[in-house]
Amino acid sequence: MRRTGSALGALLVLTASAASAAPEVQAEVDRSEVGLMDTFILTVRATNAPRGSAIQLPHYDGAEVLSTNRGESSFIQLGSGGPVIRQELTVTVILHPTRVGKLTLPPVELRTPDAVVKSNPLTITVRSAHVGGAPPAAGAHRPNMMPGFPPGFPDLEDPFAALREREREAAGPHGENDLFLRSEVDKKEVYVGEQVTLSVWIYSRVDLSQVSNEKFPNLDGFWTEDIESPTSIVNEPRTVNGVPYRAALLKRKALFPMRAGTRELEPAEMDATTGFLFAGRREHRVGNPLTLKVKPLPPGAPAGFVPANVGSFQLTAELSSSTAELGSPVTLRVALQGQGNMKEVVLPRATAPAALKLYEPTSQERISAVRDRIEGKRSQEYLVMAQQTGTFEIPPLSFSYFDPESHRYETVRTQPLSLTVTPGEAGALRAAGPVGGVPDSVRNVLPAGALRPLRLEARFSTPTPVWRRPLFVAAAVLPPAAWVLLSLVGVVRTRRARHDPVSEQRRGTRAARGRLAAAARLRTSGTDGAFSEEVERAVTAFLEARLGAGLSGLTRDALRQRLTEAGAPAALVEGAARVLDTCDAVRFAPGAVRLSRQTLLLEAERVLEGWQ
Amino acid sequence: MSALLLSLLLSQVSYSPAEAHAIFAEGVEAYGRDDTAAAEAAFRKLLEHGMGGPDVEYNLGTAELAQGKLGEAVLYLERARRHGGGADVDANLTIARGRVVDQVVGASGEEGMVARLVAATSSLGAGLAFLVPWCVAFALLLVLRLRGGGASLLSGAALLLLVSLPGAGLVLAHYVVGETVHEAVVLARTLPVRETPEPSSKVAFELHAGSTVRLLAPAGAFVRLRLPNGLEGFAEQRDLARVDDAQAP
Repeated sequence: MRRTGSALGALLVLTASAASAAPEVQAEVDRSEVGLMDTFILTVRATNAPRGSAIQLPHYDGAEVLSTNRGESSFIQLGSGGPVIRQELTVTVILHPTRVGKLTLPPVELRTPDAVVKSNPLTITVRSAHVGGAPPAAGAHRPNMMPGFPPGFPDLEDPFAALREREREAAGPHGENDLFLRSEVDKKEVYVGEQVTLSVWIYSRVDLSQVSNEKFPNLDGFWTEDIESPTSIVNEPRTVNGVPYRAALLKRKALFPMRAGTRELEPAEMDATTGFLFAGRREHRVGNPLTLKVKPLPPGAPAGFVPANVGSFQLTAELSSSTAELGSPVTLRVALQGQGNMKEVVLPRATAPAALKLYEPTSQERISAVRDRIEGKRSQEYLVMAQQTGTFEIPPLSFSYFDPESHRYETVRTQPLSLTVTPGEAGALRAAGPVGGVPDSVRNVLPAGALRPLRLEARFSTPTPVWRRPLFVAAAVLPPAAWVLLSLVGVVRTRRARHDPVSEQRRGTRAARGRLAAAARLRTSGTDGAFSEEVERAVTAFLEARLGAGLSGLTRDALRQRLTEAGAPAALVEGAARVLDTCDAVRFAPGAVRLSRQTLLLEAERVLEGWQ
Repeated sequence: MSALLLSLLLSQVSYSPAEAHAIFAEGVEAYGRDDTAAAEAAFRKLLEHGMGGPDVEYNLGTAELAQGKLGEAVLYLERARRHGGGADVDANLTIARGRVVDQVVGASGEEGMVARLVAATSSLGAGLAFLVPWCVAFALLLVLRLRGGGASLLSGAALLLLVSLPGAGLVLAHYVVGETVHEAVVLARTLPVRETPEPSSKVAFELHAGSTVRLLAPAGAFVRLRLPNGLEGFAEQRDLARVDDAQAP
């Protein structure tokens, strides 16, 4: 239970009333007319509320809630049913109209465990100009008699005004207007990653001696950075609706939203001690909620853009020296300076040719708030150790960011940096190096593993797989095809020859020649009988082939006649008869015939060659 | 529209050998002054106009590798290796593969002896090893058929046919691997491989530029792929480039 106001302590009231009163809720405003720049106070009071009741404020369309203050007191009511605990609830709301015209404040609900009780609706007229009868403020209606001094400063016309004011302040706040909390943001609409500054102020018209138990809004979803956190109350004069106040800053933070959407910042709360010493009083105050619209970054981000890079930045890169000796390091310094969430921006990573070895960088940052904006400088230093002699270029670095002022993506680039590495003085090397050689750090290192160079000549042809080459297919298929074809032709010819007389003649002639050849082989080695038998067979086979019929059973005369009828030359007919007669004679009278094998062979050859 | 047609027409016109050599030299010169982007453009132009070959592919792959484009580097170096290769191709391909993020653990050696044999031999060599004894053997058989002859001719032909068999097997292996095994290289920086061929499907694992996968079967805009260790999934075809599709630049 919050303890607020001047009369909301716990009361124990014993009454003898027999009747149990029904809960009631009433709402009232302190004015019927108000200016657009004025504030007014809505007071809601609920009586006879049973235990567990609560007042529910509606949404005020046309008015902004600046402050809400709740109070509560309890008492025991004795009735016929026994003692009953009753509550009296009070809510005081400071409102600020946001539009001109009739402003209707909807009924306030009292929610009890059993029912909902509604208050009366209220209507208030809102004028564009300031309306007299603003919340009473001592001296506010009086002209400032001390030009150059803030309003409310004691004037000389009323020398007791200051005294009365001190008495009034020492007595504590007379209402919510005398002491309230106010949260402010410098922008209500920002991009993701863009800074918005949140300030929490306490406004008072009483002596404020201490602020404690501050509870600031939950800032999940934001990167936050403290800008100001005063350790003591430092007042500055401020005027609200023409009423002078002393305002003290309690907290100022830089917020960097991480997600897009509408974000509700809940109100801040705190306890304030007013007055001095034993006259001091403790008051609890709740501030106003805030709504923040966080827009997503527009599309079209350049490559390599990191969402935290929102703000305005400059990028620089420099080498500590443009020349170095082998073994002597140089420093590459990359620095990013500007406004934005400096702790989260991502610096581009430096690269270098293989001849330059870059060691892991060391980082430094300097962040400060200047005119409530977070700005600073982040830098990284790389130790560069040359591995080879020559002139090498460190490529330029680029950094892309979104500038919320221009609503555009920007890219800043550094210039390429050139570093010339020399082998150094040979004498110095000898002097500095260990005995027996040069230290590794000062050698011209030529590592393996670099890319092989390009080819300088080209043949513009892509080899085709061998099975897709026509020549291959032809060379693989044609030889067997030709062989198969030839075999088929041979088979066909053989089959045809079986039924062809001419072919049979040829075949018979061939066979006869074969036998004659066999006889020729027997001419010198075999017996007369074997020789003459082969010759007879050869001639007989020839004649049978020519005549197309067998010769067995034919006499010599019949043979002569058949041969003559078949068109055989007469010399051949006689020659054939002589050969056959000679062979018969050798066979049947081997001793009676003197055989000339050569002569018989020639005679037989003449027969075979003489009838084509 | 007419400009588009004109540029399309011009892109189809092949270069003369002199023009091609001039563009090739431009690419080499650009690479020499560290303008690897210009070198890449020159070599790529040659490929787009049908003036490819292992030399252009090697140079293009090397220029891509110098720019850190791992996917394209592995793709063109692998094509150069298959089209002739060489020590320089192998060296730069090894460097490129060494920079690939993905490490396939538990590769089962699924490639097998046939695939390794094919990788180690050229199809032209296999073709010659087959064709020479094959043709001579049939020449002998033809002679035998036409002229007749002894058993020596027949046995010589049989021996040659026997000798041609390993070559024939090698050609067959090249044919089977070349026509049925399709490999592709991941071009996208990160390639999600999904459980099913749906864009909303669960991602089984991710691959990165330069990884080589085996393509199994297309499935709409997706293709089913397999890693050497047996991992399978579906990935969008547009993020992959087939190694054996040399016509695609």
